Amino acid sequence: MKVYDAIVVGTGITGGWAAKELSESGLDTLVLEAGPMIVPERDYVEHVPPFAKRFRGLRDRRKQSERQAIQKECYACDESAEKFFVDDVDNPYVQPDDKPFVWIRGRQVGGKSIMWARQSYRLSDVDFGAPARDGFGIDWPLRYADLQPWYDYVERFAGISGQAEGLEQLPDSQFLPAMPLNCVEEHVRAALGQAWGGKRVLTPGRTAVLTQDHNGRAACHYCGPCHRGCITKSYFSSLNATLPAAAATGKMTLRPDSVVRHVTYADGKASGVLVIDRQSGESIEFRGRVVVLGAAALESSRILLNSANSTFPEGLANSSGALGRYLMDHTMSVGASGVFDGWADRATTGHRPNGIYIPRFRNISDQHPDFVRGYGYQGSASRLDWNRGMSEAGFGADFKRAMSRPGTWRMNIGAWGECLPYADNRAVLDPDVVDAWGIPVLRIQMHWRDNELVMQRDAAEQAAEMLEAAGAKDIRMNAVGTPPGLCIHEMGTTRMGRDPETSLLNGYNQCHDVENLFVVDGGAMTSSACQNPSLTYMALTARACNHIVERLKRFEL
Amino acid sequence: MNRRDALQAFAAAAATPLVGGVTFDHVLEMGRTVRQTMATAPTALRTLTPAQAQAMQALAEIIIPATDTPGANDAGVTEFIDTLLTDWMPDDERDSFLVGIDDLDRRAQASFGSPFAKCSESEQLRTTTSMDAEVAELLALDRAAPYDPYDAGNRPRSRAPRHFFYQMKRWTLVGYFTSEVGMTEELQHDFLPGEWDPCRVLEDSR
Repeated sequence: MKVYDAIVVGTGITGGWAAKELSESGLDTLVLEAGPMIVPERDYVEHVPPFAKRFRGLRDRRKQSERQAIQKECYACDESAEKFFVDDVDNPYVQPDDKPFVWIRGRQVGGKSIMWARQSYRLSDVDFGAPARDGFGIDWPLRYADLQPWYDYVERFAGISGQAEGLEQLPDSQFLPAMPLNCVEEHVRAALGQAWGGKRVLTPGRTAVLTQDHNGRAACHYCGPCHRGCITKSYFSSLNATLPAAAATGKMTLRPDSVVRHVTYADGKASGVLVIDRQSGESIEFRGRVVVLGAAALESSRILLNSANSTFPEGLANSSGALGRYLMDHTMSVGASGVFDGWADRATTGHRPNGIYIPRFRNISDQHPDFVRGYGYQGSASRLDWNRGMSEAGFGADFKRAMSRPGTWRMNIGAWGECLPYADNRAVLDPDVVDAWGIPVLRIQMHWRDNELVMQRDAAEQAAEMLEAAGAKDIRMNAVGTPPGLCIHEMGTTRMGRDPETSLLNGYNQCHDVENLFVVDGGAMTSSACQNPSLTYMALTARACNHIVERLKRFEL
Repeated sequence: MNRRDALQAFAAAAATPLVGGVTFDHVLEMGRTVRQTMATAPTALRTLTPAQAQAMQALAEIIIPATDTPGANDAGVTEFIDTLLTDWMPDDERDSFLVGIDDLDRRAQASFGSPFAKCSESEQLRTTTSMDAEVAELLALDRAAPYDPYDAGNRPRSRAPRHFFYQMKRWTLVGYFTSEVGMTEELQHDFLPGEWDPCRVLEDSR
């Protein structure tokens, strides 16, 4: 049987980077994806106008209630993009009725990198040092200095637009030009500067969307609905960037429709994976010298749990018992909105695939009495469109004319908050339920605890306070967040750490117990920070792959 | 840059192949192909009776009349709502909408002796004005209702959406402003703006 140098499981953000880095290093790399091939020219649908669609882009409610009862909770799972989300009947999981976990999944070549929201922020030592400083969770086995060159490296390839601010808690990236703030956002930036000095900063969102041509990919043309694909490859995804680079080496074998059931194990090492063909149901074994899991935190954890053997009865590489535990996501949706009078003669051109960011300001140099860690805000100001007509009186010619003009400016800001790691926020295998391929599924149990809930109340109140300071009217605050999972930042279930007794992975995403087995997705996260995590996953993956190549060169794996 | 300038810019850009040989001509063609396919699809009503459809056409055109741009009926709003009623709405929503149309005809019959579609223009306007006032009152109540920012379970259900005219206006707006004439002629929507201008001076183009 052929033995590949490396097997990569998954083609999303991290699988795509692993495919690129390993094949560019000359390794004979097999890349496995559970879902079908995506052909941009055929499958991307961002330029199909609403009137060419049966429900004008409204979701197909009847079909979704039958087949995507969970996926439909995601804003991006619309009539155009629902095909990029899994079928919940074929892909079940178990959760307690009173503690919902909304698990959003994409199974296709490109994974969730096709529909991701593209926000890209570095972590800092405020984050990597947090558990050691405040005692919640275990110490990260690395610091910002270890990751900083890898952030530089992945940013130069991916293309991140943003504005340098020189903040300790949010290091600047290798930026392409920012997407400038609109008039109201500029006003609020100035108002925050006046009210809080440099403590609270409003900056253009940092996004993996090109503002100029970059590495053979075209600058954004501002059509808007990125989550449906991008034929000009203007936003970063595996399909648009890393997989083509991997394919160009001639060293990658990409096999879609390959549902990995488990990792095989022999003589103290991972020997390969067992795949079930998505269409034929046939079982196929593949061999590799190194196995890299990048299937997203919960799927990679599920593969390891399903790989239990006599040496590792609780799941492969799980002598610590940490596998499936410490599940984290970010809290989301609390914040405030308000109306800004003025700027009636101003409007925007282009559908900006981005917004604003207000970096974390809590618990950096001081300590809030009620909670640890912090949150950052995303949002935007825009003029209301014709949808406002539903909640206004009127009809007829004047009403029609008014509705086709922009309405008042409204700004909305919402907080993304850090979640602490708890041993019993946890995924285990369900003893009874299997998926459409006969593979045991996860039982997921997670809920927000006091620190998250208290922090959310503060985030909502501070949002309202900042809008008020900027002169907004009709401010509406919401302190009720969404259930865990819906932020789609699930992470931590194969965490890295210095101590093999309390963690699965070392600082190079390498299993303490099985040295040729790596987990490069969000499962590796020791703490969640509050920044959107994909950029950090990219940097960690590139760093881990470099480590793999160096070790292989020295015949150490 | 207005829409015409933008299209000219893209025509120029189309001379330069982008990544993978994709040009903006190709991109625009994607939209056109689908649009032609849809244009040939049958539009026979599947849920609305002819009488219900006539009432809706009359009311939709009062909400969004043809002016110097096409109106609700040019945009096929009644056919769009029929599609929603047939294939999209849960049964309870569909049923209450249909009851609402029948009530409209009953109301017109009681006041003016004819179903809504057969009433005079001024009779139709009087009926619509009073329905709009009823919804406005409910919207004001909803806005004044106490709102608990800390407890989603302690927020009163909105009342306005339960009124037929609210739903009729809602779907007329959606059906019109997402239609081809609504987007291209009334809104002059830029599908491929080609730039992000964060703070342009708003000119009235008409």
